[in-house]
Amino acid sequence: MSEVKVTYPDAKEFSEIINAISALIEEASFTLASDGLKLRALDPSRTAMVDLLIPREAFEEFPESLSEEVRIGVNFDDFKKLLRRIKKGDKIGMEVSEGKLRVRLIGKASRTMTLPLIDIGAEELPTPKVVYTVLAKVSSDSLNEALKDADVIADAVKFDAKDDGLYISASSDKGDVEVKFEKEGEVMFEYDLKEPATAKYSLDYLVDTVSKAYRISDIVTVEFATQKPIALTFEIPMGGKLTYYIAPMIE
Amino acid sequence: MSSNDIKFLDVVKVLESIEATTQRTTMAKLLSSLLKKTPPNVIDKVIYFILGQLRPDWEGVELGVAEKLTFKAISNATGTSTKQIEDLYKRLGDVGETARRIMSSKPQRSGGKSILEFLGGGGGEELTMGKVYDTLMSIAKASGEGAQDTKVKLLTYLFSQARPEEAKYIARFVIGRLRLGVADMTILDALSDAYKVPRDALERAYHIYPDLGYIAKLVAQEGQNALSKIHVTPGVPIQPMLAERLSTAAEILAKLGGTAMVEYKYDGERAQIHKTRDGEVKIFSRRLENITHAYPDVAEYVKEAIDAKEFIVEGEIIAIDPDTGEFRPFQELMHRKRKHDIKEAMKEYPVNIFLFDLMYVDGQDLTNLPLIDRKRKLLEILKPSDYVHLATWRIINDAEELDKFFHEAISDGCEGVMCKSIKADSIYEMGARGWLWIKYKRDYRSELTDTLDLVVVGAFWGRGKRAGTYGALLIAAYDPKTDQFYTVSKVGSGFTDEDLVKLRQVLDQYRIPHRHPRVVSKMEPDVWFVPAVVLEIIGAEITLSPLHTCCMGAVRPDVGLAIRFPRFTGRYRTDKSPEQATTVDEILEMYKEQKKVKIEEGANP
Repeated sequence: MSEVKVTYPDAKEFSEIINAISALIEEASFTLASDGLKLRALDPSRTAMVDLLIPREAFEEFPESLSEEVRIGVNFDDFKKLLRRIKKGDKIGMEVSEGKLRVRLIGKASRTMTLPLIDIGAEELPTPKVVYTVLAKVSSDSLNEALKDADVIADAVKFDAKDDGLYISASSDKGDVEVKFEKEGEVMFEYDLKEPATAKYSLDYLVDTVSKAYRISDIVTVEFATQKPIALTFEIPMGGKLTYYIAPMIE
Repeated sequence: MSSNDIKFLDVVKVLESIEATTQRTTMAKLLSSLLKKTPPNVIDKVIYFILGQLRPDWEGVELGVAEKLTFKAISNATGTSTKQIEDLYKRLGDVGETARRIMSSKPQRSGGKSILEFLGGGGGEELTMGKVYDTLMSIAKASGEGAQDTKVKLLTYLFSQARPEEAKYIARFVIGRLRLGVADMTILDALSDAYKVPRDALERAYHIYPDLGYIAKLVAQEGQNALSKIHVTPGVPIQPMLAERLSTAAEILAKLGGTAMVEYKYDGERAQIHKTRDGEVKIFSRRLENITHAYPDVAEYVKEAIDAKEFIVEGEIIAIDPDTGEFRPFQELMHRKRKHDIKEAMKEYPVNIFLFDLMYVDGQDLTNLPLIDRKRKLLEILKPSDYVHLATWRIINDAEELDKFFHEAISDGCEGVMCKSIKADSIYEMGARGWLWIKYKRDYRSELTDTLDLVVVGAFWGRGKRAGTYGALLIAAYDPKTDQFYTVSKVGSGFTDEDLVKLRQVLDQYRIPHRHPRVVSKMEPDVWFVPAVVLEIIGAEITLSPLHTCCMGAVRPDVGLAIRFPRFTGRYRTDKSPEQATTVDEILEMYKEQKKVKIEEGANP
């Protein structure tokens, strides 16, 4: 395999993306393809899937042509440790050669560190095809707060899409929590309700993911339907997006 | 599922049948037929699962999953709250049954469906042995930041794919309570039957390389001849050689051919110490558990004191009073294993080691050499230090001198002496109890003041002050010839109130609704257990008894042997596996000795 090299202009942002992915998975393979850098992986319990695409245009440097897709298997714990060394204003370069991933942090001085690539059995994961009946674009910060509030009370949370807005609620013997995202409210930027829907999801997955991913983007697109998964999409400012799919809890 | 795997459900069905049987022969047959239909490349996984371990004990691979994590995973997989699960568990006392009921009260995989089922990727595949084992292995390997979380998630995956009966065994396995009572010997029988390999060839391999998964895979894939590939290997413990016992110096010398190498028998922890080529030192207990973590100092001392690249030596680790240099009781060593801060424990409970045998050195397997040659080699490579000593020894050919040496040993704080054959055939007999080594222990001569290590197989409910605890325990001796346990006594004294509470907790983990197939009993206790817990028992004498099955018919037809006035000494023999308990042959020997003593006493009043 010949050497492949990419450079991403904002190392800080890249590390936040990695951080957000690591909320669900320990190790996974990125795929470097002619249209960009991708990752699609299941969490170990197979309750959730993460789907990342950073298009080639978002990179400062990207291979002109790739004869074949390049797989980059990494352990996220190790990768994260390395990314902690990032300084403000750094760019990040990555080179794959001979079983290693060379990461260059390019700032005033350029530092190179290497990570061993790991071989991860490739499981072919489908492109999600779900028909959602609700689409809401809300403030990612507010959603994060709402989920954290619910987490104080319960293990699971209910999403209710009604005509007047999106309700997020939880209850247990410790009490009840309800947060309302009002249609046309201050923190609701778009609301498209095809039909009312209600579904329940585990807070474990929602809190872990949203509490990290909200740093990537101020807006999150929430899509779901009754007894169907929820999709949470964070648009990456430089281009591209990170989506989580979480299976519903069916009662 | 590929044809290289077996459905986990098929394994579970056999486990259910094993749990239901009270016949050891049925148990062996069930195992053997399961092995026959298991593809060779997953046979090791099936065996490890049945034994309730991911790898042989001596590798020390642990899942690191407690009840709480298990409940959390079941909750995630089913949508049942952890509180509900815990409540049910409190009522049932068995995680397996708890998991099974929770799973069956829910519609097919309701709470935790795989996301793939919604995204159009199928999912919901059937669990196979390979999949279950590999996932459990990933759970064991998860470490570092977020390890607990990863463990729960992997376990959630297993539970969300499992049927209720599969969940039952997964739950029991992960918290280490599979409690099938299938022992290594039982597996060897099944392997012998399934692959038509002579039992003793398998046993020999097992003594050299006690990893049943590995041995099974080897014979399943390559047949009996492959067993010759198994060699004594530093880093892999061998089964320790065991000793018989006799009660007089004259008899011992007669049995050993007139001359013996006699060594102090220290009251400590017997340890097998390995150094591998890469310089790593590993210490194994007599149960072949890796106990290096409890004795990092011993590892260092021995590494310093022995001049060889690779070796396997054997010795006794003793707690020492640093001020006087005197030996401290065996129990002090337990602190080494309990303490979380090993550095502190090392300071508080210093130890020395007394070496007595050398089984392997620099590429050379010494187990087939006579004792004298092994000792000579040990002397050559050992430079004794303040911490590493050679066990005190002497060549003796006179009964009076043996008695004198025995008393010296006692006054030096030892249990007694070990008398070893020095004849040409005095090899290191792995895993065997033979007449090459004979114990001569303190107090053995006066009636029955010597202790026995017996296995709890049943219990009777206590009354009055003892209500709610087990008032008396049915205890048994082991017979290696049949791989079964034979009752010798009902013991009800010697237990403190704390013991009674502790025993209830410990024993209930092994409680089963009927007699275990490896237990032979005429008595019908209130409660039965899987043979697992070994207690040290002392008694007044061994008598004939029609109630007990130990040595049934050996002395008189239809009459067995029992212990009169049995009492618990307070010592839990957690260092011994049930198969290392006192054997029925030893009890028969003790009975005969005791009779002889009485006759002698009667003759010369």
